[in-house]
Amino acid sequence: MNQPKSDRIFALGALILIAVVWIVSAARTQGDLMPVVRATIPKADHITKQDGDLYAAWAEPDEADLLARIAIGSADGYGGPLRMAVAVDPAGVVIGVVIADDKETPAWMGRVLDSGLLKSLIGKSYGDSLILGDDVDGVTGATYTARAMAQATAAGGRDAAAAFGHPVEEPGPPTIVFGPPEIVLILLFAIGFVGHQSRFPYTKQLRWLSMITGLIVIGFLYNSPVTIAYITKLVLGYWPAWQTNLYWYFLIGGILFVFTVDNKNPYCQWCCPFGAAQDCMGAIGGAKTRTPVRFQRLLIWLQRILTLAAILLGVWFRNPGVASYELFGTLFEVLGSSVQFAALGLVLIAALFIKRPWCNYLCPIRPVTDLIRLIRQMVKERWQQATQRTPAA
Amino acid sequence: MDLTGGPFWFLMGVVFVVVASGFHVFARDRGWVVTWWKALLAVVWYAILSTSFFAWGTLIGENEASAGLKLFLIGLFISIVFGVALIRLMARPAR
Repeated sequence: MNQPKSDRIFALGALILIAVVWIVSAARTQGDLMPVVRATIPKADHITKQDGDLYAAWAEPDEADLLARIAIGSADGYGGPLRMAVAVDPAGVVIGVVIADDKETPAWMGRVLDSGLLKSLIGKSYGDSLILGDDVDGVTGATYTARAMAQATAAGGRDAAAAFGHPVEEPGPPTIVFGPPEIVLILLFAIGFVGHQSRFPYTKQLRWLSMITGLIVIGFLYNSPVTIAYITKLVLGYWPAWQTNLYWYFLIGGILFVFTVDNKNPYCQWCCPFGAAQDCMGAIGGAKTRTPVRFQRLLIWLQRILTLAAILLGVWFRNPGVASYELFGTLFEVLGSSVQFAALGLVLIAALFIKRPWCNYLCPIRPVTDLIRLIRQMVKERWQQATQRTPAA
Repeated sequence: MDLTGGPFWFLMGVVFVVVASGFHVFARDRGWVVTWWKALLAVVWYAILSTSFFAWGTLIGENEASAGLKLFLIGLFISIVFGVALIRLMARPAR
């Protein structure tokens, strides 16, 4: 299928705009950390900066009594690097923790803060591993954020303790996380691949099986659908450790791989949990595609502009969570504002009569997949032109 | 007179009879064949919708208006989805 020239111009313009905003936002200077560092230990008389991300908190103006050392620890959160200011006393005990910088979605961050995780980190030793579910309680529905906070605290605690001269063991490489979500995802891609074959007679049944599995596993059990925040995160260069994020690499890599090889979208119509939820509503209400022909292009362009605006915002603030406007968490985690719940209700009720209203008019993933398809076609055309110009040997 | 006791339920009974009669006429005009199990499903739908309103009112009385509204909206959502499915089911020709 040949895309109109306007699509190509828009795609090129969008990529250039994202690149420009990326460079400009990267050039912005980082905020001063001193207020955050001070907040870790309010009783300190004053704080002095030492090497790099290391600070010292003094009890008196004459700097005779060292209350604590404060280090900035960092770990991968859901939206990108999460940094914690960690104050450790001379005995190596954590006496204060404050979030220095985060890229998390506000709703998830709110859930973690409400859980009291920060308070539970106070009193831990620099030698504690701070593993969720082990020596720190996990937070249901915000695992990535909670894990990043605990790991960043552990890293900061080690750095601060090392400055006191405590023997610190550097942690080994992270353990590879490969479990049910990764296995289910691979199976869903395999099902999609089989179902896409033109000769396969049970495509419809297989698609429903895949959709329902995606709805239950990717949606309600793990709440891990593809989001614009994750795509913005990759654009920003926040590539998390593969060992603990195999699921995301499989998901994004699988989509790109199938698109490249097969030019088919293995996700949206086959295992997207929110799409499945809309399909279920559509099956109840007998939904049909109801886009008026004369508004079709306009609606597609509005969706693209909305997506571009979301990515640009995320890149500008260097915070992928800002870009996220999806309602996935509202449905699968029952978490969100009143506006989000109202929007979710409207989308689901509309899905009774209109086929996949969210996917067709609002979802930011569709423009992204359109872009992948466009780039694939442009590369293919260039390749064909190049091979035609080359004389046969 | 205590309106929340007997008179209220008497009124609810009257409303139910009116709704049921209205539904009967509505179904006949549309040519629906309402079997006993379809009628039972319609009663269940009506019960869910009514209960949503009752729960809202009760929770307002308990000074939990916000929780009542949420519960009502959830009930309303379920009623809409169930209602759409029910209309499609009713419109199906009997075998």
